[in-house]
Amino acid sequence: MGILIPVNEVEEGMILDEPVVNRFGQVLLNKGTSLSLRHKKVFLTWNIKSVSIKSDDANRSLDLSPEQLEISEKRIKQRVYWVPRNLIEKDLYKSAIILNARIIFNEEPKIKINF
Amino acid sequence: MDTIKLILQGIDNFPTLPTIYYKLTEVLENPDSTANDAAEVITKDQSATAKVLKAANSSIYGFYGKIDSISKAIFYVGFEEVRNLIILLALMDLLPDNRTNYHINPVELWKHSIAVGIITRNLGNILGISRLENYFVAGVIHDLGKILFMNNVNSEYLKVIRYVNENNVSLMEAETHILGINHSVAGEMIAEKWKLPSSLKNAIRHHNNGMIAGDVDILVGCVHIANISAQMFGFGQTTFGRVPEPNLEVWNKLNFPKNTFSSIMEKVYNDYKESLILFKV
Repeated sequence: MGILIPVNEVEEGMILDEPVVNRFGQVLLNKGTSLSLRHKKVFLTWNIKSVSIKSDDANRSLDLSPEQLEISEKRIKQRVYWVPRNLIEKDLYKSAIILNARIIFNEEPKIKINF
Repeated sequence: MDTIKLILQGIDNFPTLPTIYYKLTEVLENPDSTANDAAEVITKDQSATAKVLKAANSSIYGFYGKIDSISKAIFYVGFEEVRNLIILLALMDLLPDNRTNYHINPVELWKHSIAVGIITRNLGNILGISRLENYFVAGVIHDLGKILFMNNVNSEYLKVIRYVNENNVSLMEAETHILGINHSVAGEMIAEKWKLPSSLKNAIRHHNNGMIAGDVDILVGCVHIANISAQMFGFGQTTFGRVPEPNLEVWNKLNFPKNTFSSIMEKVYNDYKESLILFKV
């Protein structure tokens, strides 16, 4: 799994996690390509705003067990009654399950706020 | 007294923004003024200076300790955003001290507001918006009207919560039914009183659907999506009843890449944790 970054944050040596396509669906660069500054210029020319690159951070959900994710999903379903209708909503839903699970089981921010 | 009268009276009596905000606005609107003029206004207030520098160096803006003066903050973060941070500091002062007797929990509201600000800015970044000034604060300020309700019609708000739970309606509908006005309209009235820029006013007024006069607005659309995302992520609990469904027109217009949320969630979570420490009083 990769993370999406704006093109202006592309650095030399980053690895593409998904192919880069233009607005006509033509593949400009394949998955796995090591990026250079020349590629960055190409993205800007094609008005590509963001690209998906490989990142260790993206694998954090692997620390969670299926049971933990299931409990998290049940909690979300108590508040979210709509069903994801498209890919972006599916991604939002999936991310919510992971983040809720992390808050419940791993890393709930235990921060006291005093107003 | 009628609830609506109490609310209107609350708007009349709602505290104004600090003088420094309006001085900065004068500087911003004067074509002859320079960044140094703005820096001079802020540095006269030591407390504001310290807080603005702390915020400007946070991971939200990504400069990580590079900013050691207000002049640099204006250069890197942008003048408008530095001025916006003054609004944010003022908001923190408006949240009540006593947390136990409020039907809207001030701490949870603040956590939710901060999360919406962070997600809004991250979404703008993914869209390749070059001027991200306003994105963070537009997200933070979107529920301004709830602070008014919390302070002025707290007991009536219990009826709103009950109405949501018993009738399966949205919070906005319940507020309009019970109080005669919802938090987005009330918030916009405060924004008018404060003379906030139209981008922030729109974020407050239209965050429920992301649209202004029938058209999707990019900033307001991001706030709309961020508001729903923060509730789904469990960042602050302000929802009574159901989390609203995103507006499909916003998705269609903004056209986010399909893996937007899995890509930004790590950064959003880290920014959120850092901000809870940063933006406490």
